[in-house]
Amino acid sequence: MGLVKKKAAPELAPVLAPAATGARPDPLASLEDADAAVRRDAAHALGHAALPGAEAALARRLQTEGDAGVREAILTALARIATPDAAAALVPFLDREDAALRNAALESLQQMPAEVAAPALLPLLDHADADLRIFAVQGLGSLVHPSRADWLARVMERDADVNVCLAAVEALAEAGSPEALSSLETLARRFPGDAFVAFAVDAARSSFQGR
Amino acid sequence: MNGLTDAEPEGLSQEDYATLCGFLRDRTGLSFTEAKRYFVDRRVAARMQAVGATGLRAYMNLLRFQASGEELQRLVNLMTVNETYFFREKYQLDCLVNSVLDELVRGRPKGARLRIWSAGCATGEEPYSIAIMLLENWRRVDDYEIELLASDIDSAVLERAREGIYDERALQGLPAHLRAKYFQPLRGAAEAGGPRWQIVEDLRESVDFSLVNIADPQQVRAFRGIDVIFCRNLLIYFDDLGRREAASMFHDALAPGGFVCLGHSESMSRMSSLFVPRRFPDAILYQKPVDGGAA
Repeated sequence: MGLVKKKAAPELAPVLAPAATGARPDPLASLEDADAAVRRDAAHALGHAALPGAEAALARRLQTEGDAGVREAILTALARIATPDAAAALVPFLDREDAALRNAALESLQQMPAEVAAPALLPLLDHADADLRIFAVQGLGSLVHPSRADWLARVMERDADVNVCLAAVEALAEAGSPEALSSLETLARRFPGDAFVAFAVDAARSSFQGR
Repeated sequence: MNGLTDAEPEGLSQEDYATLCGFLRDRTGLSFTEAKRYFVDRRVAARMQAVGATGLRAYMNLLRFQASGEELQRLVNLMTVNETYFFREKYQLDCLVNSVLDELVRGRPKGARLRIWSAGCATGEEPYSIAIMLLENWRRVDDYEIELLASDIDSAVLERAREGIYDERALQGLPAHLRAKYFQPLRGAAEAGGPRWQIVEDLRESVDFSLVNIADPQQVRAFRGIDVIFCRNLLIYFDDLGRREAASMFHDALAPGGFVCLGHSESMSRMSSLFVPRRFPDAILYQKPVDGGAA
């Protein structure tokens, strides 16, 4: 035993020919295959050659998919398709009990271009569920978009839930957004008795001012 | 048809550059940002001249539709970076022989098979280093059948890996007694670029090299039931989504409880949530959950 000796080395088979990456079974149909590996490949294929209806089919499969690898492939495919429909298809998963699925859906939205992800996330800032508003803040806070600081400032000035506001402070502090200083001061005044708000605002203020 | 121009590659417009890079990313996973423009432009210009392409449009048609895929392979061979050496980031190899393998074989009968895959093996220093580490430092090496697989997307470096011929720079991290044991000096090879050594035949026969595009799930599907994947300093050439896809394919290729070893600057937690980080005395590796991570 020990190291297994290979048989005679074969010629290196071509791997970049169109045939090697081309003709495949219909990925929309394969998405419902009994074999998880086939479903995963189908999701991958849809991410690279988005077919009409792909977003809805991927989202539908994601609702019932039990294999972690296939779920990940679907979430990555939706991030790669990155159409408004793909972003919209991910939003309902932010509300799921399954924390891993929630986080992965948010990650997919964050990996989309800002101009696609933002319209899907912005309406959530007005959702009744504070947890969903926190997800929206985290998602919007990671986007590269000229209105990013304005969105987060609005949260700090208006949102009734202190945890949502603190998520906005955290997002602002990570990127350093001195233009949001006045909104930070407003937040400190809105929750005068909250020691953690005072601490977070002070930390963000210091980071903006380079201290 | 896209809006490609027929301009010479030195003058690639931003749009042409984006089209070319998008094509390469889609086919290979390799991601080239604007910062790599000089690197890409020079190599594309060289290949266009070599095949006599009159413009980028003609060259892209060749890349897309050539039945053999030969030109795309040649271009990819020029685009990959293959700088490595023996026992690179040795602490991870120490981790393999000091901790990981013992954990993997726990409960397995003698004679069972272990499969180790070096993905992105370049000129072979990594898989041969793994082989040497196993033979020298894992006391149970003879109790198991150990299959060493190695792959790369670059056909030229794989031919060199199979030859197993190295110069002084590649061997600098190797102790003298291991060089004497596993390498033979090549006579008459000193004129060109200094002395060179070849891996002994027995070791060359122990690594199974194959040409694999890890951006293509159909090709990765050939790798199943892998116990440890070494993929070090390869995914840094992929974009975020490409890394996430590659991580997903590794997850699929691994046996439950199998491990991924990434480069020291890479972190699986920034790519995928499919793996669990495991801290060993020598290094941190990423493990596929034993239950496969079923929801």
